[in-house]
Amino acid sequence: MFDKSKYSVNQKLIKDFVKQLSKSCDYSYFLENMKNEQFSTEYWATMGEAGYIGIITPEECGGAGFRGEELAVFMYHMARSTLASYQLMTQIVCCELLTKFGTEKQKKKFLPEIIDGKLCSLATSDLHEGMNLFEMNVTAAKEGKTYTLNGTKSYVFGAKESDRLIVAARTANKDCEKEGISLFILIGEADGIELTPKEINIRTTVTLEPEFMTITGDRVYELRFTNVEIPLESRIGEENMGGQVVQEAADLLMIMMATAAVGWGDYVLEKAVEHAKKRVIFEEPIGSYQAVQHPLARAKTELELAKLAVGRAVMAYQSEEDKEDISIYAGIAKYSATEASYTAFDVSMQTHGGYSADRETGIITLWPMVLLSRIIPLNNDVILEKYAEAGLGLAEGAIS
Amino acid sequence: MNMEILVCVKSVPDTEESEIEVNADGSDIKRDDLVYTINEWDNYAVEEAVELVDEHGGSVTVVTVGDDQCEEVLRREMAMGANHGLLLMDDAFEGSDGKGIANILKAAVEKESYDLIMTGAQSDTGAGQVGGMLAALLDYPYASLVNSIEVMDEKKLKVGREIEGGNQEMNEIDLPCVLSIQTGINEPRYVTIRGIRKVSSVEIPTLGASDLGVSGDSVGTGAARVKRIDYFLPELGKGTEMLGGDTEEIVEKLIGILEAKGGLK
Repeated sequence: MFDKSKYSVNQKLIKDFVKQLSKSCDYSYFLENMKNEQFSTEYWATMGEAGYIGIITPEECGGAGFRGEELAVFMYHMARSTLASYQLMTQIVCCELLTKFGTEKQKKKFLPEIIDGKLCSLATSDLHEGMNLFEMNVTAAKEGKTYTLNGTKSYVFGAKESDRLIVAARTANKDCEKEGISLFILIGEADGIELTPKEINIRTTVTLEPEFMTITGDRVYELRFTNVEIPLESRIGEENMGGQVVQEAADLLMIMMATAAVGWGDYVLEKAVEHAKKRVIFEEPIGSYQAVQHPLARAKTELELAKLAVGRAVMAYQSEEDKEDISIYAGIAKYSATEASYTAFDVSMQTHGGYSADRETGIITLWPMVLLSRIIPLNNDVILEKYAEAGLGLAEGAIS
Repeated sequence: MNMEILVCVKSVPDTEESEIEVNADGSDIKRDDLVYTINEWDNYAVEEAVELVDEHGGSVTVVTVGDDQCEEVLRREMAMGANHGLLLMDDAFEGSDGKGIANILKAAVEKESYDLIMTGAQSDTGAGQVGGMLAALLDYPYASLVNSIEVMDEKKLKVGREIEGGNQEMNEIDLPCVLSIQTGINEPRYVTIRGIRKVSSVEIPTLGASDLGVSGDSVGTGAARVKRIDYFLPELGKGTEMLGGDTEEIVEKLIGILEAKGGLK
């Protein structure tokens, strides 16, 4: 899937776009923005202009109508060029949710503007319960022609910078029931929404200040809804059936996360190999010593194996296989890719030694991305738990 | 006015993606596993053509001489905004020198009616021959190293040329003409995903020697009067010193040398 020599013409052109983008929005551009806590305006303007947010949105809805393979090639090369961001993945998921579950009016209104670069955030994770839909306690109470939102969401990427917000909330039943969840799209700065930025702590040798954004400009927020009134027509999909929508969003996010993770892994390993060839200690490059070679080779092996899992998940998604199967393959891909990427990162840090903590090498700044990819949208332990139950047929386990 | 513009483009090895090495018999570079891309100068020419057509109407056709792999660069430029693509492919074309390529392109030009023909100022070989030869064969006026174009009227352009020493020259040139385009004339646009989708199913016509009416004795290896006889990486000259180590070490060594030579006080 990620063998450049086997890319189709379309895939080569997508890779070519990423290469072109990486020249104007290069690493130093993002580093400067991160240091100054500036939003990456030019990056998003280009994404909107070039239309890649709509890469899998059907042509009749204003997108390009490609599916999984092109999306995977795009996200892999974006990550490999340190251009992939969680916000970007969110944008693509929001388009897919609206395409699949939105009303014609919603599609017509929201899809063109999101594809053109207006940001839309996705608030599915509750403050304490995370992505556990059973215990979702953000509520949307229906009364007359409106719903009233109350509760707190966490890990919402780009909420402040977004014009739109898709929120999952409980509309029926009570806690501990998966059914009864609905999705809504609303204006990002509606009355009654309080935003709190969450710190992303990468305390480097350069600064001991906490960071509020990742290298590609992702900012994370906590959102508190207090009696936020939204019209009935804001609901996406059927009432109380949002659980399935959230699951499909999570599957697509996991596939993109997996694809990005192998891209990040390849990037940091490539940097490590370059360093191992150039760095001379005891008159030989450090890459000539087995103590350096073997971890690098092992990390690359794990990444290559993970790519097979990613390829399987992408094909399941592209071929619209059974939803349960897509979830399982997406989970396997996300687990294996993010763990392999994490290992690659660690090996790259070890190979670079002290240089890895220097932002200018471009290694340390990717650390939060790689670290968070093991947790978002689902923690890898949760993925294993789901696989034990759905894949291996084991009983729903007690939490150990 | 409507401008019909032909831009001649070339697929070249992507030096950022591929390690360029000389092959075993020293006749060429190793071409297995090379990644190809659009010649950078040609990309600027296409952008300029698209901008001219956006402003004045008409259409842009991109043409290349090569094998079916070269179709990729045509699709790339069409995704960027060119309206048509044309692949000139024939076994007889293989091994053509600059004049041979110009002969093939001349035949393609004469099959249609173009107001303006553009090439890149040079390509991977650095020869920079084709634009000038094509103009001579067509008996069209020619301007090289063009870094600005302004349409004066239906019969004339005002073009800027980059001159040695940072000087600039302005010329009026009659249409139809051939211009070779310098990098930096514009900022080439991104290849949009909608553009890629739009051209993905477009059939690109292919013309061979017989379609073009090109005789075998004017193109190909047999007609080539410039023949490569050797290809190699020159040995390091006397006094050349390659600095080794990581970036920091190289910088330290460089500073040491500059200080020793009196370049840094």
